[in-house]
Amino acid sequence: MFYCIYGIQKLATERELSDFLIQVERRAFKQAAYAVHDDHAALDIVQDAMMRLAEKYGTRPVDELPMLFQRILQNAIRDYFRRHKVRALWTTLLSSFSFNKEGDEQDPLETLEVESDSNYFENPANQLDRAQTLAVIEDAVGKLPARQREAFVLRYWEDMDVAETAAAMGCSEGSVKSHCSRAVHSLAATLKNKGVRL
Amino acid sequence: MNERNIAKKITQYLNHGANQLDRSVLENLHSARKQALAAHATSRQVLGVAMAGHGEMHSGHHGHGHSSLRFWIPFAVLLLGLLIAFNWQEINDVEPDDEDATLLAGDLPVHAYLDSDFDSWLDQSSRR
Repeated sequence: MFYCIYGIQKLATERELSDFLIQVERRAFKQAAYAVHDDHAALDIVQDAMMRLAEKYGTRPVDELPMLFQRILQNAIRDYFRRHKVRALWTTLLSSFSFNKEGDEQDPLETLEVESDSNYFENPANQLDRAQTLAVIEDAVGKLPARQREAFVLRYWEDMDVAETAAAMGCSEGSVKSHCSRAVHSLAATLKNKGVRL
Repeated sequence: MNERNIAKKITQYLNHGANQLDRSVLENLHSARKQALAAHATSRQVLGVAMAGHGEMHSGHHGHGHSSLRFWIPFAVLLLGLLIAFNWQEINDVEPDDEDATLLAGDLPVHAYLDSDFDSWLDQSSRR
């Protein structure tokens, strides 16, 4: 009885849930789109994840919502691939691009040039370059192996720590570090090969 | 340049891309959010009703008599039914031993019951 009353006091309010969904919905859509390469399917996945969160976990404390939502979203993406096994096979084949040419021992992280100007996005002269860079990055993220992309997105885009990412992905912290490292190296190599400066 | 710095730069671009979604996508996301919030409101109402019921069961104040009555009435009906069934069975239950004892203790010889003429004699006697 007392536990239940205590639980009610901690529940996420409708306003808190709304604020949370507003905060994450765009990134969630992009995450799903990078994974499934189909905007309509991505919208369905995000909608499904939102509904599942609201119906089953909407009464949980607001602090738990980010982790729960990410788990639901990632499961929804996996469900999508289970339903589309043939397409998943092709996606996996296409995503297994290699970034290391034979004899190329150079670490892409060491040679990738980074734009030092922090106001880079605010410079109108760079808009076209920025759009092209964004397209290259989004394409590269979309071509990452699923687990690497998942780890990269959760760890760096959703700003989860290693333990939270591991919990959301259902794997060890060591695996998260490994996936993240490979993802960043792969992205850096792709950008370098495309002549993109960050 | 280390891994974290590159990741930070990449996510800056990703954030930029997420903020440039098509209007139709934003509208669909808005619609999805509204549906989710409606579902959330419904689930909260259901939980509220469940918790109210739970509280009533344990409060011991308002509605205590009704709760007790709701518990005892089916129990009493079940008990009454069992008693009636037991009595009915006892009334209609004719023990074979009692029947044998009656036959043997009677004035009529036992072999008279095996005589077919005895049945016809009984019929005639009852008609008179």
